[in-house]
Amino acid sequence: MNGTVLIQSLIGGLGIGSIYALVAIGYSLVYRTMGLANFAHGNILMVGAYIGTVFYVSMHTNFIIAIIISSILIGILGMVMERILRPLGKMDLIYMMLGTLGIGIVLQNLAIIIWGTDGIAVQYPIKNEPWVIGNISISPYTLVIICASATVVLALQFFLHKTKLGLAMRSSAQEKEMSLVLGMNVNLMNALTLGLGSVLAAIAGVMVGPVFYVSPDMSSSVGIIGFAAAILGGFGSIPGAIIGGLTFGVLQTMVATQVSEWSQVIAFVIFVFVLIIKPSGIVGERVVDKI
Amino acid sequence: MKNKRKSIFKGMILSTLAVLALTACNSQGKSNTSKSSGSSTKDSKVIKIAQIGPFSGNAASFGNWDNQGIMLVVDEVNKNGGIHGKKIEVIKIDDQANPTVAVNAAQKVVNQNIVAAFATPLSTGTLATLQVFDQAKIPQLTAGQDTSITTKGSKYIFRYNANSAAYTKTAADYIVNKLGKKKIAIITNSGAYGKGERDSFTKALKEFGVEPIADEVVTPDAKDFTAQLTNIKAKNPEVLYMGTENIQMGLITKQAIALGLKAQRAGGSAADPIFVKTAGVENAEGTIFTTQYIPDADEKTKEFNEAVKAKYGIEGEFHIAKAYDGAMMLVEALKNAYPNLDGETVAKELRKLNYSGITGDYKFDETGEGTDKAQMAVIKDGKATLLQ
Repeated sequence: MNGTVLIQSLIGGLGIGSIYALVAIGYSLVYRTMGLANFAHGNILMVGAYIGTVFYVSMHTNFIIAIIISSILIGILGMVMERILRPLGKMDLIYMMLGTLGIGIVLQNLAIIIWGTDGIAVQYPIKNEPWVIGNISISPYTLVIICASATVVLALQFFLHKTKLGLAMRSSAQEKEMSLVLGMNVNLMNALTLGLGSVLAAIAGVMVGPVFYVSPDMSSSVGIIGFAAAILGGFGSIPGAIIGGLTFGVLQTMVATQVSEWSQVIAFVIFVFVLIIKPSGIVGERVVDKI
Repeated sequence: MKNKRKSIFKGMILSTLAVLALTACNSQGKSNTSKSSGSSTKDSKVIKIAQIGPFSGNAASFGNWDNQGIMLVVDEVNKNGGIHGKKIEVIKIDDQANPTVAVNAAQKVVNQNIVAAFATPLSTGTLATLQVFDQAKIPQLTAGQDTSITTKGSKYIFRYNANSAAYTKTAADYIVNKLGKKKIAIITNSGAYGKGERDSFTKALKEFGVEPIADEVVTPDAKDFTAQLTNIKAKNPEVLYMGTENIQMGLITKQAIALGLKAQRAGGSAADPIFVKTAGVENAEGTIFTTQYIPDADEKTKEFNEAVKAKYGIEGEFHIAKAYDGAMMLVEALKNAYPNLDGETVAKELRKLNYSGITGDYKFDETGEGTDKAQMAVIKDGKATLLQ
């Protein structure tokens, strides 16, 4: 691997990796707060991508506005999901998890009924003339994805650490009983967390549309890798999700430059090895182990 | 201790769920038999043919185009009284572009008194179902381009299309001898079509004394080609040959341009309207490719174009045109075979045909190849235009 290929694939890997990171954060947020692995997350991402794309492609709304509309609708969907899952959670966490799986399948099939299976091609929202530096050319849209993802993550951190609502969400995640005693509406906090996680998925879904292709199988292609990234970094940890997402993106791209057909196989073999050596993930903490 | 055991149990359930989630995501397509037969008496009033192909998933357009071409002919024949008074009925089955599903579908239809089957527009599905139709002695018509389709010894396979070798040879000849380009990079996928493109294009290049300077293979469901295109870019090729289906070809084009890869882009017959839409009209501009059908090339194609527009409200298109020719030939053979509508006679009649259609002149040989003609075309203002 020469230097040019190395740097070029590093940039490409970071681009797709930041998408995985956003998806992984969604998984981790929900897991940390509710102890729940949300199996509908990938499907939510796909529905979010479709909603944003329909606004952007068919109704010619501005790309950023399309992202915002999709985020709002998907955020509401996430909160509704908590209401549906709440009675299940009272029985056992496992039922709740089955519930997310069911919701995921419903969303998947609804999407196929509404939008069909053909998929939609999305054009870049900016003029995507590559910037050339020496032998390396950078696709501006890749940089847009990286910067936008970083901004979203910073805004999320600010929200969780500096606002009252964010602090309330964190406290309800850490000490559910104590928060209840203090008169906090834990159900609302759970709903907000699911909503917030879903918004991240929607943003990731709409942003990746122009690079890939918006189709129903996005939920497995992007969703599953996002899930794996969350676990690789340390399930439940936000920094872990970021590291996991970027690692997966870079790993996949770098392996693909060497042995293209094997990129998924090798990326997941490395994933398994990391987990064998460090079962709690790269930055995993035992504290969040709620199950 | 008890707690620990409980958490292990939960862990097991969790991993089972994860596997379930994975499979649930993959089983999105449905197989539906739209017009399955009720009674199948020997002297039934209808002639049944089957069409197996993808109607859901990424490759759904291929199944739909095939169907549109076939139905254009079938509806016309039925409107004019059918074949010697018998109407044609099409049994349509979705194989989700999955060879296993295609084989099941084939096994199902061969027991439904069909006289011929269109199976399938994709090479992978065609290869998978070859044996079923050969054993049942039912003529199988395909648009699949993989060269190996006609080398497996089936006596009932008929290709209403040129094979990969014919296409890629035309492309290689044009690129090497006419454009004088020698630094050629190839990107293909590991599906049957991609594999056929890779093998035959490399072989064709070799005949002209050229070795590809880069040869990347991706999986058929890949959507991110940054890594492969980065490798290709490092070799600085003059031509990028894309041997994948339409959507992947569009994504490769888009991502290649985003990476600043300036090579002349070239491809096979996958450069269709879906390719242009996926890549974007601007990016698709100037892509050279091989085809058998150029809209508005002559009176015949103009007429066909009008018919497609009137019936489906879309532009006439290469895949629809191929299927149209395939169905025309089958109808001709059925007319000639009547009243002996068994597979053997129909196959014999198909071989006797000398048919001149909108995608070329067909004469089936012993192996089932109908034509070896292909043309070079270029995308101009988002549309296919003849080059040679």
